[in-house]
Amino acid sequence: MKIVAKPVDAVAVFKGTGRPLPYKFRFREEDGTDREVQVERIFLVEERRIAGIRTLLYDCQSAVGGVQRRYQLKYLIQDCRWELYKI
Amino acid sequence: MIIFHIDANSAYLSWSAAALLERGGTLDLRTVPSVVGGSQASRHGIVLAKSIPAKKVGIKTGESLFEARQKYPKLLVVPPDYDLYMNCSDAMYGILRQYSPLIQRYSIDECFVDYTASAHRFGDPLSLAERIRERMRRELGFTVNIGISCNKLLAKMASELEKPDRIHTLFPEEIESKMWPLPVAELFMVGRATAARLARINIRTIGELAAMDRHQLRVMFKSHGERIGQYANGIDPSPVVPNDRIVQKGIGNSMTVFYDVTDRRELLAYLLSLCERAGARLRALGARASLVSVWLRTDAFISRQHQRQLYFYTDQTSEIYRAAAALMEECWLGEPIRQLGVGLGSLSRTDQEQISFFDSEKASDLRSTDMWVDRIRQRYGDGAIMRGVFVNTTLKSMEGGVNEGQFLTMGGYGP
Repeated sequence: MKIVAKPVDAVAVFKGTGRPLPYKFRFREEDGTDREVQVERIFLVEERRIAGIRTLLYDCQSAVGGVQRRYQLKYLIQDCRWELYKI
Repeated sequence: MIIFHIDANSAYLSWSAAALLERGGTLDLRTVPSVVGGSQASRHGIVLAKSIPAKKVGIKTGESLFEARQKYPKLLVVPPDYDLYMNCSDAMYGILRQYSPLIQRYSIDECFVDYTASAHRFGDPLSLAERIRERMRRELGFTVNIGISCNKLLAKMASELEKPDRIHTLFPEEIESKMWPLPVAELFMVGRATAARLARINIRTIGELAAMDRHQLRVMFKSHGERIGQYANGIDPSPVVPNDRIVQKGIGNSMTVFYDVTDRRELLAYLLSLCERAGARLRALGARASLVSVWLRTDAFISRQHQRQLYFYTDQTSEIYRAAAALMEECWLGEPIRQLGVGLGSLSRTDQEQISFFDSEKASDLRSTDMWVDRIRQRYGDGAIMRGVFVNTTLKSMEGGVNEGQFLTMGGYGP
């Protein structure tokens, strides 16, 4: 996997307690087309504070174009935004 | 006693570097010649922090970006991000707090930790230091130096021995081999001026200073001489004082103007805006001051300072400004000014006060005005209410400090 760190539009589930869970997200491919991906499995959530920046890192897997792919989504707690971190 | 001194390696730079990586950057600033520096346009163009490769090409902290670029034209310059630095500092403190309740945040990137009482829980200091160092790197993404000894001074000297990402001990039995061969300027509290005066009497290493006669030191440097004499021998009885218990002895604010001020009215307006900030900080501390000082730096980089002991204690912006303005008139000879500052000292924290025969009748009115102004600013921001002189000008109504004056730069040495 390599770091892309691109901001994405995301839909997430905020339960009453516990961490938010990404549901689906949309990102722009290099050829300019938008692609929507449903988050199918979340293997691991890691809370990080590199450089004092609090983030949640999700290890996920989805079928993208018929192929199962692993990727990481990142939630920046202070900025309230989602990023596709690694793919 | 077991004291740790934890010091983030080239703090501003490595924090900016870690944040850049975390935000998806591909270049690690620490691996190329790079510096953190202010904007040249507003003349804050000095090197605040440098990477180790930048150090290798001869760039020094504190020199101008112009000088730095002459040494290395392709130098990378990133602007400082004080919110980020505060977060990093808090994160660092957050990890240390898990190991001891007695922590002194000595500055934004340094902490003293008194480990004496926690040793029975976390074990051997060296292995704990190793754990802390590892956690800082893994969890926060930057490296620290840790010095271990039996007092604050030796711990601080230890953490400065060899950088980066290292742990050093400097116990009394190691002073002779590790500290005494160092140049005397490396000793804490020995600055450029002291080092130069010591060089004149052929004192060049800390060991030579340690062997010097107490009385001679006292004659040459007064009480400061006694202190550095003790430091050279590794003696420092000061305890680790958590910051909320440190008694602040003075307040000061200064600013660099983005052009050279030559107009008297403008200069006084800048001075007033500094007094507004210093006065607000004084009142927030619940103290009053009776010593006002003013300093300035001209376009030729000549500095002057004047101070005056008032015959009363005050916390009113207007009173402070009146004294500061009089001092400014004394020490300003009409030359262009690039930097100015105001300081308040001899603080009193009691609520009793000596009533002066000469107090203006408006004093209590002014006091309540200041109080309400502070409250309005706290609630709606610094710009919400300002004095008439600042209206329709580019001047800010409060000057000095970064991040609305919330930024912790120096903790000060305990009593």
